[in-house]
Amino acid sequence: MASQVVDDHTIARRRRVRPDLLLVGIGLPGGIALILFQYFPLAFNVIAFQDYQPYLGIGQSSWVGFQNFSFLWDGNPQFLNALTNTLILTLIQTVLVFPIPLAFALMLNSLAGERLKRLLQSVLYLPHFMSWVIVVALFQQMLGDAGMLNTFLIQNDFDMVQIIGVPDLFKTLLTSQIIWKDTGWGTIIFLAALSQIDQEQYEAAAVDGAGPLRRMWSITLPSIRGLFILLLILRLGNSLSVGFEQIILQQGPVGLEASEVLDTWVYNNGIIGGNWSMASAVGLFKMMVGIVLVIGANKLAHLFGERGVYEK
Amino acid sequence: MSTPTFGRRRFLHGAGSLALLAGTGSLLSACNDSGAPSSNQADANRGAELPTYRRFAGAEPDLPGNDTGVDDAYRNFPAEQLRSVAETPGNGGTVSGMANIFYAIPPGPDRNAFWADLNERLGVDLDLRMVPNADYPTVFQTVIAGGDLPDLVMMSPPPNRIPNLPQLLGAQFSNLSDHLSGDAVLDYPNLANLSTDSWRSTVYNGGIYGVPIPRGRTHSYHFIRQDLFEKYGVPVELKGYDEFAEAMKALTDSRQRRFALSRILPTMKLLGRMNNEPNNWREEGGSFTRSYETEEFRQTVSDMTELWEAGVVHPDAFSDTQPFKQLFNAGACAVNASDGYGGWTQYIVDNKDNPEFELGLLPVYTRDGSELAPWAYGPGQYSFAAIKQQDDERLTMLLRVLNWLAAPFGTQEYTYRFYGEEGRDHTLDADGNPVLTAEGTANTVLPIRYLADSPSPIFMPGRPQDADYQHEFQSRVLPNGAADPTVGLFSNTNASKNAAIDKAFNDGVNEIIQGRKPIGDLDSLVSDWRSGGGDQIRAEYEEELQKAGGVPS
Amino acid sequence: METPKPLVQAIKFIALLVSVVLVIVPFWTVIATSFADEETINANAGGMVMWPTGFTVSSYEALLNGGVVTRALVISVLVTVVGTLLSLAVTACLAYWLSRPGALGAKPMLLLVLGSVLFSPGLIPNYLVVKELGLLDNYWSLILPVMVNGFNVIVMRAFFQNLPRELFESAAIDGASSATVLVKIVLPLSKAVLAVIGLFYAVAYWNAFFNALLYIQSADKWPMALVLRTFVVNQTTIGGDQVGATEALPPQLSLQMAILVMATVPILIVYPFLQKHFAKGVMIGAVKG
Repeated sequence: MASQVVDDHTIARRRRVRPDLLLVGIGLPGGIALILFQYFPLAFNVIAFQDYQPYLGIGQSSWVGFQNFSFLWDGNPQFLNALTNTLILTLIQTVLVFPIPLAFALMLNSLAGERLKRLLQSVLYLPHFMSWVIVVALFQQMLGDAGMLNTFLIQNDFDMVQIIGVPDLFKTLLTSQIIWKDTGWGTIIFLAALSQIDQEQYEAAAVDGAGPLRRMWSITLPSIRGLFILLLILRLGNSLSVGFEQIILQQGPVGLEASEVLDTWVYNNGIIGGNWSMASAVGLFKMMVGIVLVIGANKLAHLFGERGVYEK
Repeated sequence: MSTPTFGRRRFLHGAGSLALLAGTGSLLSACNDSGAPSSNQADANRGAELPTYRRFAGAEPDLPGNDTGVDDAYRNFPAEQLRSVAETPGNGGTVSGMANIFYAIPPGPDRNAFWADLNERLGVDLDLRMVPNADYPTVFQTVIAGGDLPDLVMMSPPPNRIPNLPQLLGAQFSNLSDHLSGDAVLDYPNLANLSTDSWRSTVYNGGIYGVPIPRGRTHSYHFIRQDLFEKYGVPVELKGYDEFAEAMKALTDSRQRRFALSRILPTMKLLGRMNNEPNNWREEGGSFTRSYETEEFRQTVSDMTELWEAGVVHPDAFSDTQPFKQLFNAGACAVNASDGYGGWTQYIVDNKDNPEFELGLLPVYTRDGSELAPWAYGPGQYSFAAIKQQDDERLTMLLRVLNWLAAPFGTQEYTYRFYGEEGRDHTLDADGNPVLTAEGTANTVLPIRYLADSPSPIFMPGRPQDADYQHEFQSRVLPNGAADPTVGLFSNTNASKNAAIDKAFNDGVNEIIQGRKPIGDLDSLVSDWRSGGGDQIRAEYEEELQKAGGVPS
Repeated sequence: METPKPLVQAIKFIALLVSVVLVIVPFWTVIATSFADEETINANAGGMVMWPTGFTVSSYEALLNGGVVTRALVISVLVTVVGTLLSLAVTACLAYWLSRPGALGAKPMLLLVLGSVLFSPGLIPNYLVVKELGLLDNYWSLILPVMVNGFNVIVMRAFFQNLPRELFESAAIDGASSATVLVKIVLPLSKAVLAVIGLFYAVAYWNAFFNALLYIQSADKWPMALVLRTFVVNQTTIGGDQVGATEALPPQLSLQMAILVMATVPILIVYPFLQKHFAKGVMIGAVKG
């Protein structure tokens, strides 16, 4: 790592002498598109400090200072409940769910037959293409109180298993739906990274007598550690978004106490009532949290000698 | 009735509610005073006269409707059709419009003979923006924010849930009073044929701001699977709660995945009628009470809890994704407790190939079973279409177009807008009823019926018996009923906050029904509802009523 | 020892098998239901079916009726192909710029890219920008606003950074320009990540309906995803607003499942072509050769 850093600096010094304008030139169109379609609209977020009315526009809507941010300090129990649920789900999704695609990618990668591997991959990533409405409906049809499982149980004189509509199990349900839907999709990027590992390293290690576990530990994992950390940091940046559509579709049976998260709270209390300003304020709040988390996580990554999302 | 006025209410909106808000304390005025132009203030004290009602003398119904709200019924399609509009309404230019669509979108005018022909008949080039109904509120708000409005805009339904609607209308849409108030509407005979009920919610800032998409007073039906009732020997005349509960048990067999009832809220509406709950609100002496605050509602919650415990409600009843129509069609649920009355047509059509399916309607009795429960009348419209601000000449042209689009049943224009042209879009069966062809099915769903529409008669092509059945049902239930007293009043707090407090309230009620909370919690739910905005909504309605000259009855 | 422990192999095998079953069974019911007629669905209490005893293609017929879907398919394919190629080109160039140590302006640009991952600007402002650029009702409104995705840029940059350093050094000594290095060295070695990011973009373009909903006004320009949406949204409730509807649609459930199948198949066809770029050793050969 250390030598690499020195290397970077030497190259950097060399570049500074004669800036590579061609490099900037080919990269810039993307940068301009980003600024145009991401940062221009971002300026619109000044409505967070307004009482914005669509028919008046920004120009004529009145300014209200930080009033739309009052959710941060007025101790609204509904907001606090939504925040708590969000944080719990964030924790589950980053700690528990996030590594699963990596595990699958490693398993798939270690399979012998290339064709079998591809076939399995193609199957596992299918659920990604189902919209949440359909995933939710499928789960209900399979596991609901009137679903296939329970109908079978009842008709064979077993006790029913209540899974859906139980507040205590709601977060488990959400988590399993996410795992089911997006694990296969998540493996793709890791498989791409795994394909970049130099095969000679494995061969050399095998010659040295390293078993498969040992090779995974000392070759595979270090090779994709950087990507894993990068993705983790990016995930942290959006950690307060825990799945709006999936949750709003399933709030009915379990109730708001168990199910309300930040995004649904904004929807229920702001957007439906046309309160775009409040929605915007919450958006800014989420963004701030994201920035803090990304900067923090990146610092942490640097401490451990990782590259992170951006360099020091 | 020649010149119906507002009666005891004169529907002064917008400026009135704004002034009210400004006077109720700094917090609320800060929330709601959006710095809207106050040009409507001058209008505030001038009530708009509603359009004169003049029934269009068209095809003679087999079973005539009446002023309790029973619709005209036709057993078969009228053979002779009048022409209701003599001249081509348009002048050849483009007319743009935006409305929601419930079906797969039809092809554009270059590949859609129905549409091309419609343009011809209207004398305009109709440029329609069709938006899937579920996405309409979002697109509506976005288009408003963009400022580039189409000529004709269907207000996101229901219009009374659009925040700052009066100010929005005042700022960007046309006041149509000069063209439609009183006898002025008689220039547009098909618009004059729309019921007085349906115009009430088009009046804001003291002016008429749109053309209603009218709906009958019946509003909703309690649909049942008549065949299942018969199969399990359950009578349809269920006198009182006890007989009702007993019947629901008889219709349930959870081992076979068969349940009497499908969804919670519609079931609670049915029970609410049984328990004589107010139709959303009750107005007495100028003061308003929300149904939630009444003893009758408490009874409904307790009944609902009992039914849920008894296991006669489908287990997915609380879920938004429950495919209740499918469950009903499949016979997995025998009662669809409350659904739009237009659903009759849909259910019949959906089950054309199902020989067992027989649709019926459940009369609801009062709790003690002594008489039929009062009917909850609908608001008279689905929504209304407003016209972008423009010069008078063009405004007149657009109203002529809407007049064409509101042509009533039994006219050539009506036949065209629903069934297209004979031979191409539909064929006639032995009784002269139109049957859409494949091409007609795909092409005629153009959502022009959400820019203007006529009153809908009871008519089910090829099923004359349905006309008699529904007409009889409506004649039985409609005479005794109550209107929602807030229809025609606008509360901005209702528009902006109701969705949130209503959801929180219903969520708590759901917890009670499922036994996770005691019924005693209803008190705190109600007080949360009141402090969260309910009291404010009430105050605004009371103020509006008073300003409208609403002398307590 | 060379052969893996049988226990480990067995666990791995079982885990994968269970996952495949968990995916296949629901997916099978989706396909079966899309071909099921009303009677079959009714026999299953209105739910999904495992086997379409009453087989019908009426759902697919309904979808293809009127020629709207065929036109939309063409539009979707065009938007997806053009969009993906453009996105890949622009993203690769941007990522390459940001991946070169010490490149002029790369640091602030990287922060801008990262920032774009942390927020979504919201509907109304996006609409206003597209409107101001005169892109409303134009196919480009489906491509340009989503052409660059910050996440994809960052991931691609990370892959570029992992390329062997020696390659760049030798190229620099040869006096190759940065554009030459990108085309001749970086891209050929990055097929795997290009395939992945290309897939990400393609799927995003293919599935996107919301931008079309907001920006495309004439129904003749609707892409597939938006057309399909009009078939599904009808589900929630029949209002009193549907009087006069006389068209007989297939059961809503089979229709939905048919939509799902139709919307998924084109993307499924693409995937196997991409997979070969994930094969081991592709890069090594290139480097050594």
